[in-house]
Amino acid sequence: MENNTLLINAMPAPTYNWLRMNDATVKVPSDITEGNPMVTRSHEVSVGACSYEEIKDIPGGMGIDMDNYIQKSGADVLKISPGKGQKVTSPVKIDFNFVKDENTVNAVYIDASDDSDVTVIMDYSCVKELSGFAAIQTKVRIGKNARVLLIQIQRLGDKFRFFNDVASRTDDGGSFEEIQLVLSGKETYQGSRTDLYGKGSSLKTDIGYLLRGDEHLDMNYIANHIGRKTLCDIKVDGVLRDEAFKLFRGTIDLRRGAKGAVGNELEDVLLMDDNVINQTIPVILCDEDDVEGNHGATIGRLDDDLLFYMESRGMNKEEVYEMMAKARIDSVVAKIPDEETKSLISKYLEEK
Amino acid sequence: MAKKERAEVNDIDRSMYDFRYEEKDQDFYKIQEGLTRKIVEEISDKKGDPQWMRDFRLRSLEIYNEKEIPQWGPSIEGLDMSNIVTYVKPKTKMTADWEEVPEDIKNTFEKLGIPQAERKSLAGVGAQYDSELVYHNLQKEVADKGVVYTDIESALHGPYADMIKDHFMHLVPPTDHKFAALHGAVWSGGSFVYVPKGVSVEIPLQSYFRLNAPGAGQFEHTLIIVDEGADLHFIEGCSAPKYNIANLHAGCVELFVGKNARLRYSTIENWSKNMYNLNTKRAIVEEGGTMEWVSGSFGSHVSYLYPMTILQGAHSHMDFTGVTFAGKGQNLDTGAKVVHNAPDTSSYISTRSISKDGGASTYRSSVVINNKAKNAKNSVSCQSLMLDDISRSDTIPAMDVRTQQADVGHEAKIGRISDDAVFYLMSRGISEEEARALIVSGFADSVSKELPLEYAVEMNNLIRLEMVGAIG
Repeated sequence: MENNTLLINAMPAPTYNWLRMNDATVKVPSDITEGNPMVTRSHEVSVGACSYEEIKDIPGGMGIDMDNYIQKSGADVLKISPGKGQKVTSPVKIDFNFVKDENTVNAVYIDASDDSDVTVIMDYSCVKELSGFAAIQTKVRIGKNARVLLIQIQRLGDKFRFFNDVASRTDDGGSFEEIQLVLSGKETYQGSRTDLYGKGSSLKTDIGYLLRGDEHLDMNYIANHIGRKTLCDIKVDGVLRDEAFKLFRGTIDLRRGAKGAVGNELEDVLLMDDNVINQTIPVILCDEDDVEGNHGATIGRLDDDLLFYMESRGMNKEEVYEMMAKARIDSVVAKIPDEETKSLISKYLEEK
Repeated sequence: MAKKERAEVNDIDRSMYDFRYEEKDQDFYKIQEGLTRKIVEEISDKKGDPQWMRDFRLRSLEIYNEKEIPQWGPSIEGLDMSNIVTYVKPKTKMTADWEEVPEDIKNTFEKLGIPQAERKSLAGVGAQYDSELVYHNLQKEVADKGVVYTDIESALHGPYADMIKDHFMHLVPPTDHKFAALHGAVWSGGSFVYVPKGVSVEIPLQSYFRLNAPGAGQFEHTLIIVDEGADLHFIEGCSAPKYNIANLHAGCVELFVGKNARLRYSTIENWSKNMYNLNTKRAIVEEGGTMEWVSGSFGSHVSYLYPMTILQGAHSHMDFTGVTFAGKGQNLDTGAKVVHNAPDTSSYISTRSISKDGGASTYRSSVVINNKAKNAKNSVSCQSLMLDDISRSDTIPAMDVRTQQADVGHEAKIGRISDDAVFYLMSRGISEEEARALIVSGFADSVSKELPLEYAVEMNNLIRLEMVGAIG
């Protein structure tokens, strides 16, 4: 039963309404249950639960409606909290393997104390035919000089609807790195917001997507530079095939007082079939002069010369396309420091 | 350690535009303030509209009343339509003889350099004062080629009446947005240009719009049709003296560029800082045609200005070069829009914006490449310079690509004057002051080099970038 409407992925600075890129209005189910992920971790790191109240003050990329939806579900928040100075050597893995046609909600909180270091890998998967719905929100608090690497892999079926929201805030010298791969899923809404409060804190985002069929991906990424000398680097690499649709909104907000801040944003999109739709809106808001903001986007097809070269070596066009699509995703996968996760993705891409 | 002072850039010197003559009631007809059906009917009566135009105005008014104010741009809360006088007519007839123009109005345009420019470098000139054209002239040799350049009201009643009816607000329909509907209801003045097939107008035409009445609106309509294989450069200039109450400019420009034709449309906009500039400009380009926009936005309190080009024919092309300078009390939201609707179309957008003294500039654009536009190419480059820490600069570019067979590139940069560039120039023996001045003036150079010499000089006068940086 779908009787809730959410306004999500709203851009901080909207533009012409006729483009229909400012936000998304979506229906979500009201009959939801808490999902049951499997957590694998070493004994070094503490994993427990907390109430949503504890994370309410960290806003996410999908917006307040998503917060309210998750909170109203009453789901417990899975809390991962590396202690002060703790360097967690092996990644914490959270596997969301959806097995039933049901609607689930989960919240995760990574509370990284000062000087700690942790990698969290979240894997979303299901059998191909499953037509469920899941909404997952991950909130991250990064203490002084702490580092959190969040890796999210989406390997869902082509009937599955998925909402994935990330929220983070950094203290002085804190570093948040996120790697996200969207490899399938009928309809995906994804948001991420990082508030760079602490002096010298940083955000590094790498996103890869490979969409086929009529898959739909709607993204909203926001980096708010609040502290001095904060850095952000958002890199998006994607491939669109068949009749896939993708909308990427990326906002770097260089706020007054963020002296010495640098924000970079770049999207490369490879369009591989003639009925794809690609929408990109890379925004820089700047209220401070002692900053640097750069954004770029390249959207296009395979280079004719490259295609000709490959074909002259005996590959047919379809094989070249497949190879180039995988190569683009591989460039993001290569940044994942966990070999087991890398091979999981490689296997998935080979079978897909 | 020696304290490094910030290099300063002076505000645009616009005192040359601020002179004004008090408008005496006996010399001007002013309609009542506000916007009602009665006011629209009265404007229509005054102008002797044909019935279709009267109906069009009234329908536009209904659309205006239904439409919401856009929520995505700068605030226009200070604009109260109930205080705006939508029609101010000087009690004089339009003339082609400069000597017949009333003395005060003539003096105004003399100060702005319009007749001098006409003598030196223009093929024709139109001068609008408040709501009506007061002077319109076209060189005989250009007229002999069949070029039509007249006020739009005359065209509405003359041999080109059907052409006007077939094109008027077809590119920018009143349903487009609230202020397009307002324009449809109360439009007055503006120019009509028709360049016949194969005719090349070698020196530019210019229309100059002067809004002199306090609390008034100017709603001129410019309609240009450049027929197959023809070529035209049209220049639009605008200014107004400063008042303490809001003025409104909601003009509309519709440009039709025929097969293999070329149109360059240059604008130097220097409205006063009490002006709300909510202008709409749009061009449609047929096969092999070229549309070139050169746009300098310096004045107004708030601007919404995004010239749009629809590349309708195969191999058509668009170039947009723009510079925006936002100073104290200004919020200038400018940019460009392009829609690729045909194969092998190409477009290039290059903009520069400068913010200082609390001014806010926004670069806003949209690039739409539809599925039919195979082999379309687009490139966008926008750069913004922040000259102090109380100003603001945003870039909001949108791209919508609906075919695989397209190449789209976008790059944008926001920042202050690069220390490295200053250091480099200083290492070559240039003082810091000079180095900073050089960088800032070079930054806006991309627009001035696209203008005819006389206008480049005017633009440089407008910018008057005076650097007073100090070291130590």
